[in-house]
Amino acid sequence: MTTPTSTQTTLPFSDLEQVYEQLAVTLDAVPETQETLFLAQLALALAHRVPDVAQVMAAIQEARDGLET
Amino acid sequence: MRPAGKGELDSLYFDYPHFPFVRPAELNGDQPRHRVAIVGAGPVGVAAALEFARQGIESVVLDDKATLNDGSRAICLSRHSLEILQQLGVEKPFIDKALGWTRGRTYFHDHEVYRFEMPHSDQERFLPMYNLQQQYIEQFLVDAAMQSPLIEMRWQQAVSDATQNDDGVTLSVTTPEGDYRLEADYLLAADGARSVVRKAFDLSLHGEAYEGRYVIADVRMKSDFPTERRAFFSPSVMPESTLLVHKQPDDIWRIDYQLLADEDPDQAVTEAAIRERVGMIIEMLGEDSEWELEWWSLYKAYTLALEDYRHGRVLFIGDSAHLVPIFGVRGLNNGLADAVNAAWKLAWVLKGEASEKLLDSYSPERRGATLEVFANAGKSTRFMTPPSRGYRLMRDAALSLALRNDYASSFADPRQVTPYTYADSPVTASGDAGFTAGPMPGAPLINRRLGEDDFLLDHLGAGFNLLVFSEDGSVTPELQTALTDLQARNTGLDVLVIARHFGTAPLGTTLVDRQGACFDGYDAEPGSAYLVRPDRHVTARWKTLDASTLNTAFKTALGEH
Repeated sequence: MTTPTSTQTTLPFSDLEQVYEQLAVTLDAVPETQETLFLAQLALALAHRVPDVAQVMAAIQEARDGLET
Repeated sequence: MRPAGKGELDSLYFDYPHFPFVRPAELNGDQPRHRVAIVGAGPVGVAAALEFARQGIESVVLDDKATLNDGSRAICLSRHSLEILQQLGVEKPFIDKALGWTRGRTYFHDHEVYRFEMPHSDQERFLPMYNLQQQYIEQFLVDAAMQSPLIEMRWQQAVSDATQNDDGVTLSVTTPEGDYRLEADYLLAADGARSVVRKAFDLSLHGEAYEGRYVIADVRMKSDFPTERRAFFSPSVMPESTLLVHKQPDDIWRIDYQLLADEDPDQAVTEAAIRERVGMIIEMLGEDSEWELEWWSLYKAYTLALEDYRHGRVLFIGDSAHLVPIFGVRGLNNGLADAVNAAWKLAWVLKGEASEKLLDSYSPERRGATLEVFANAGKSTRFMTPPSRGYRLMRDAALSLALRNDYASSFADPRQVTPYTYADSPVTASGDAGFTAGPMPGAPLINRRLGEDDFLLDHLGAGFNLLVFSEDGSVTPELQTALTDLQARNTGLDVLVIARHFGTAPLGTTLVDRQGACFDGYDAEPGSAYLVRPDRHVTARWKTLDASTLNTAFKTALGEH
């Protein structure tokens, strides 16, 4: 098994859980055909709030790597 | 359910006992007044009877069956439950038979993405979790109850109705040799999800049912895989499903799997369907030895509870009061905590050491525990069986990230049962700001090692315990006088002095904390104290005990504000 890496966390886990729930509920409210567009918009909106572009690039790679699970 | 040709109790590994009908006094013209009747001889009802006996109170336990429950059902006992069983004096057969465990693994698309370790240290006598089939759990409890002169087990006696008035409770009982009425001061309803007592008083459970049905199946199979909890999300053999695998004693393996949304449950529980599915799963696990099908059942997740666990002279304990999802192993473990909470309080009322006001704290404490379970169980149930497209997508996203990123693996944590803290209870005192660690008022005691095979919780008395921290075993003359005075008025109070080293002038039982583990764990200094209830929850604590406030704390603990 790969040893998981620790990302420097800025959001406590309980807050991340809230995000998880809110996203699940919002995704259910979005038509399935627009799911991808919604998630791509969200990625840009979140990236805009991150002051360090390297962090955003690392997150993109992280999500890409996750597809190989 | 069992394979074709097998009876309900025809197990591959367990010999079900037969409990004969014994003609009760009521059928011979006597009408004894019982102090406590307990309906249901499952693990929760019998644990309550053992707690009553420990507190010196007689009880009568009624059950319609002539044997133990069929099937392995609830198989996980938490450390907190073992600590309850230890106080009941019955932990030994459990430790000898059960399989203890500390870790688990989560798989996604057949890849292992997360391993978890449950909190454990050498300060603990018991492991975080033990696997044991429910019929063994019941057998060990019933063996102890049958030995007790204070417990009367009445098998093959079905309660069909219950009524109450200001003075007591009356049960209508049906037996092989006729019907009778049983009269008792109080009633504990431990008669499970389909509680007859609950129906008799026209009370109902409220809450919600979750999507998804699970099959739980037991097989006998030789395997060297260690005792761990394994969870498989979207495995290749059943891509839309979630599987759980647990090892039990006697080479029995529990396999739980989720039925697909469009699957007919009646078809899914036929023996042929079970054999096909279980065979595929065992192959996926990489096991190549022969296996035999033992027992299976169908399960749906609920979060349902009574609005009030007390109804006059009736206290509801275990599944009669609340139904919780199996993920997180909270059903039986919380039922045992209900049992001892209700039983010690009622025992103290019956002994005249507390007024009936003490019983008012039962429902807030144990219903509070249920509501916390619901909050957690909802999350784990939505993770195990996502109820919608959005939840499934988020679940799969978290599992995909979990392999390489620890922030995501926490979502796969099984959120297993933890003891509930009665912080807001009417019988819990307010905290002492002087402490920065240790169990707060309302929390259960933590265990600490005193020596080889010697732990703090081994030394508790059956009633209240006052832990007094001291340098050399001595206490101030004022405290000595206050304690002597308090013990003279309340017989059920033991004083445990925890000393850094043994000196002279000991008071009560002195425990020597050579390594300082108790002092550290309890954030104590000489003069600190913890007042502890019979169920090991802390009522009050003092960084520096002022003897004059001890009496007030004791009154709070007994519901006299």
